[in-house]
Amino acid sequence: MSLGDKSVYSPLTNLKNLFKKPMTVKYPKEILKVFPKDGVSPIYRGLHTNDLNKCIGCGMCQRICPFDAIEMKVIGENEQGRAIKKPVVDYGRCSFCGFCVDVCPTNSLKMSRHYIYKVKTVKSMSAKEEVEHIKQKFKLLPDESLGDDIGYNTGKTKKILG
Amino acid sequence: MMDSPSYMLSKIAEKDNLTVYELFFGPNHPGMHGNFGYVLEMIGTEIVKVRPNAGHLHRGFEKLMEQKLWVQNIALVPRICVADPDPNEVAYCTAIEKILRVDIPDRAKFLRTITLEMSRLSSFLMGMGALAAAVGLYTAMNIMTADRDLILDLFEWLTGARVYHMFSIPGGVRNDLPDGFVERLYKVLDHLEKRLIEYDKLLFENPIIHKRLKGLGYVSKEDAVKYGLTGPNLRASGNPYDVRVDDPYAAYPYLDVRVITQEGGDALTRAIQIRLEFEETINLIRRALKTMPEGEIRLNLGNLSALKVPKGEAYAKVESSKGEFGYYVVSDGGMKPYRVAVRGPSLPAGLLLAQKHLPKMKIDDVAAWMASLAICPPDIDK
Repeated sequence: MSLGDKSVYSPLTNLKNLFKKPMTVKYPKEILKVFPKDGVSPIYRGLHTNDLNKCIGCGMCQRICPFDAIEMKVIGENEQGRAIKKPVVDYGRCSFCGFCVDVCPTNSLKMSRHYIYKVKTVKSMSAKEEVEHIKQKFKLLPDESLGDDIGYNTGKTKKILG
Repeated sequence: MMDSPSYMLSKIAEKDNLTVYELFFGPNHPGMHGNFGYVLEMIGTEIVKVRPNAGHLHRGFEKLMEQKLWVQNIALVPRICVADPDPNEVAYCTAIEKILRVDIPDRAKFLRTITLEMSRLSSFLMGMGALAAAVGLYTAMNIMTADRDLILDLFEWLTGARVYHMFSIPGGVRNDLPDGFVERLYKVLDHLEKRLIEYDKLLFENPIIHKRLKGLGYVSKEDAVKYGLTGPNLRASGNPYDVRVDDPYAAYPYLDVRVITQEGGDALTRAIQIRLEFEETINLIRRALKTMPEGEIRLNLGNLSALKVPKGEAYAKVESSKGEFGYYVVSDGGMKPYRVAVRGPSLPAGLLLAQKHLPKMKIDDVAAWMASLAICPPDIDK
């Protein structure tokens, strides 16, 4: 690698970049078009989505979670008087590894291609209240569903765990 | 000489009896990668003494791993090196497989190799970009960051995440290549190969980088071995050692890995070493894609959440973009590791070599010196 003589016109070669498409996209208006489906990858590990009709509340996802992000919450009782439990994912702890999806025996827990989670805060709240409010809201509750755009799930790939 | 800033500063300092002053290079410094620091004792702009100031980045990985299930640690290990996360996963999984005495399917080995080499490409792009930024050539850095994104897109398609892939698991890998992936990978490799001309023009043939890096941080052939340098840094000093050839793992026994060595041992040689290895890595991925067999991608080890590893210990090493990443795993036959020790490749350069090289160096050269040795503080301070 030597320092060869450069052409006088070599700075002008940079002008070709004027006619190239920019590397970035303006996010809410434009979406990345690099994958077969627009946006993020078809098996993107985004926010969770749970099919409550399929979920049996076994708690395997809670057991495998490396960062204790999943908590089984009681949402009611069945006919025999037993508590029905469903997973609640705390996104303050979640690392989006997807092991909970791998381990799910009924394939009810899946990950969507959504990755932006918005929390509305009230202006009149004090700083302390706001922290508590965000803590409560920064979770996937059992009755929430992002099921329209499914990303990582074991139906698409082979089952790994369990 | 008389009116150089260094001379003027030392004169002012002498007058105020402040000849030696202390300067914190990091944790908050644009030339520092990560929350790590050197406490420099300076006269003017010249360094007299150096004290590595580690601890800001200590997250207790090794202890934390003892409290989690074998498979749960897969989510933890890539965080040890953000720029090059795959060697961690592969080394950890290989160590477990060594204790279990299982041989994973050939296709899984090739998939691991391809992700390792892709990770090496993205890490080299980041490393070359850091070097460019350290000497003020920000255009090169921006172009390299944009090109690195193409590899991250491929990772996202293959594994579902851009940076922390968590792709290797004990017994194989998590998913197979999606349809159309290989063609896209070939396209990206062709693009990167074309871009090399641009990188040469912007960075490696640039007079600035030749003037700044020539003779900086010279490591002799003997010193490189004595200090324990590995990877491109060792090979740039003329030692033909590569874990991929000398102690092959994954699919490297089936591939013909060319070891590039250079004589020289200074920062410029190390920069050019990275550039030559970048070219070789592109060719290596092409060879791996051509010879990849069909078949299973995973061994059936039962339910991994209840994986029990028999009593034993193993050391697995992987050639990362910075050098040898080693995992020493001890099992007492339970559900969790008994002990995991991590050997980071930056440790000898970042802690030991710094104390030899930095004294008598100018403050301007510290960032370039760090980038040329590819010092990645997260694996010093785990």
